Amino acid sequence: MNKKVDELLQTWGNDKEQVPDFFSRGIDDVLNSLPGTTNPVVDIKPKKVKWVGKGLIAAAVVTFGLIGSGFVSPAMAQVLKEVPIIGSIFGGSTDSSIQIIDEKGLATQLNETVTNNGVSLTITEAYFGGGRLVIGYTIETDKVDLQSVGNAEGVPLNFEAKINGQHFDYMADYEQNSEVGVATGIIDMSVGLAQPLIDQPMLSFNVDEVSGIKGSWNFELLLGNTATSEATKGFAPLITTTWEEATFVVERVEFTPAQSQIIIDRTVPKSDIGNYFFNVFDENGTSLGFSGGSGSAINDLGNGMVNFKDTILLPGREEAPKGLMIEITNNHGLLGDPANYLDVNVPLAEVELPYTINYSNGSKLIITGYEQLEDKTVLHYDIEGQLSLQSTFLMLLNKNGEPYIELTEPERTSLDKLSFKREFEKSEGPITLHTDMEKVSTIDWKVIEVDLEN
Amino acid sequence: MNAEVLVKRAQLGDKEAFVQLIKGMESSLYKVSRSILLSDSECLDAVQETILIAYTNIHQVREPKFFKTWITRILINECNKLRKVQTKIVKMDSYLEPSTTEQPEVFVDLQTAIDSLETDLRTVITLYYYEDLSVKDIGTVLDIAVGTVKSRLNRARTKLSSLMEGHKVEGRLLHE
Repeated sequence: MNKKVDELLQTWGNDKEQVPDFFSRGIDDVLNSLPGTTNPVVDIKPKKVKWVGKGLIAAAVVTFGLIGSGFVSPAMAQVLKEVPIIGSIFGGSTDSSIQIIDEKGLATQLNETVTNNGVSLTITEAYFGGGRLVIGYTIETDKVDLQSVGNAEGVPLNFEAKINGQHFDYMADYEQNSEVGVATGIIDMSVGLAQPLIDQPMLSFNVDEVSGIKGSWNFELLLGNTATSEATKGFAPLITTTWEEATFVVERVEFTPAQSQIIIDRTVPKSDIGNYFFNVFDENGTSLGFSGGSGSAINDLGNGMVNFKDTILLPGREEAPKGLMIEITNNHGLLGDPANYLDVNVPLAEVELPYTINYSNGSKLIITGYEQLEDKTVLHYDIEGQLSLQSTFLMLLNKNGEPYIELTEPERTSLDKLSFKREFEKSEGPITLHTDMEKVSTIDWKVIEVDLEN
Repeated sequence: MNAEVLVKRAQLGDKEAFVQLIKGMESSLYKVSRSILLSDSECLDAVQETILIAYTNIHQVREPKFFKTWITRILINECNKLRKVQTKIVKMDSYLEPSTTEQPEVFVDLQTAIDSLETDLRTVITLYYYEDLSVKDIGTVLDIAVGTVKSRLNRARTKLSSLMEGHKVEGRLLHE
């Protein structure tokens, strides 16, 4: 080993780097948005997490579109002519599911404007469905340079919101584009609500800061429209399952093109409060994906048990499946101990296929084949046992142990069996399948079956 | 306050303790994410997701001394998810992958040389020298065997040595 390089690296490693201000502020933003306890009710999935914070609500005056309602200044009119996004702020979003909202006409056109302290804020449109609230807006002012804001780059508006007079839990993403005194933006919220809603909910949206300018911009907005109602497939299965001391009730299931949600009421031992997770599959056992989750306030029943509602968010769907298989897992509070994990490496060219990997919980992953094509590598496999095995961590390695990038999510290839494929980047020469597993299984699971047709 | 005490307190529901833990790790989180991702905004995305995951799951950390390794593993996973998307869209103005020309590039400072390494090598260098993780812990964080960690460290050092020494060899040749 080069001693001099090692010495240089030691010095380099001891020189603790100052992080950029933008980065430090970004960390502060997320820390400030956390609720007051580190034991919240959220289901954490391996692929994506969304956290829910309490949206504080002002008991302030609620007004309909006030001063300048419908008025467009010459500057704004010029921008509106040149920037083809008016009436389709959602259509210009970087999020394809928000574009779908626009394409299908699911947003409610509002165009309510409030002007205060030299800033005109217009709420142009809103969508509410499947546990998602999306608001489009424009800002016009010459008091400050309006900034473009990408995802996780800042919070352009400070607001409090209420639906039908109720507090609700939400986590918001923001995107904003600015053009000479005018900005257009989207606030995208995943919403957890404890109570069922009427068809046309009322959103109270109260803004107290816009791009650093303090003021008061208050809106009362009627959400929901016929198109959204027609595109929403809602069910109230009320299926109850008990598992040892825990009880789960699948209360509501809602599919929309922009996002879907399942609301499960659970009563569990307090000691198990954060140990249960959910994976959702259709009636054929194919994963419906995962887009986040949230939980309602915890109700302590006083007998060692607690009750609360989970909202599981899924990607949008045009059609509802005929049924659901909800896999509940319980990890008993055990974090994956590295010492309990075993590396599994299968040199695909050297083993006889089909090749079975046996898991300590009795599940199996059966490698049925692989294809090294001109532009990609395809791995085929079946699973038996736990349905979430279809999405388990799998990696293809070259002869030097370097990984090929995974290109696609698992795709179901047969409904007769639990057969799947995954695609990786092009490979040449011998490849090895790499995964890992628990030596001793620490996770139990149970499946709730929900019929959505009857 | 001692980090292990902060972890214990955070596990009992003390949000402020968690905030102190994370603020104390800002530099580490930045450095590790920067060793994998090409842009500061993507590093921030990955770190923010990591903080949310850590906040919700901290009660699952059995031993406070494992916290750093645990959160680093979460961060690496989040960075790799973003990197999967990133490899399809290469930002030329911050492209850090090594040159493919036959003439080796000459670097006058270590940071530039480190930035030119392949991601896998850059990551182990960062975790070993900047994060002071052991070879075993690096293996845990990256889900690779200890032998692979050692191999990558060795390759990284050899490559850095070659990059740093390259211009001196040319100088001698010019003067001969």
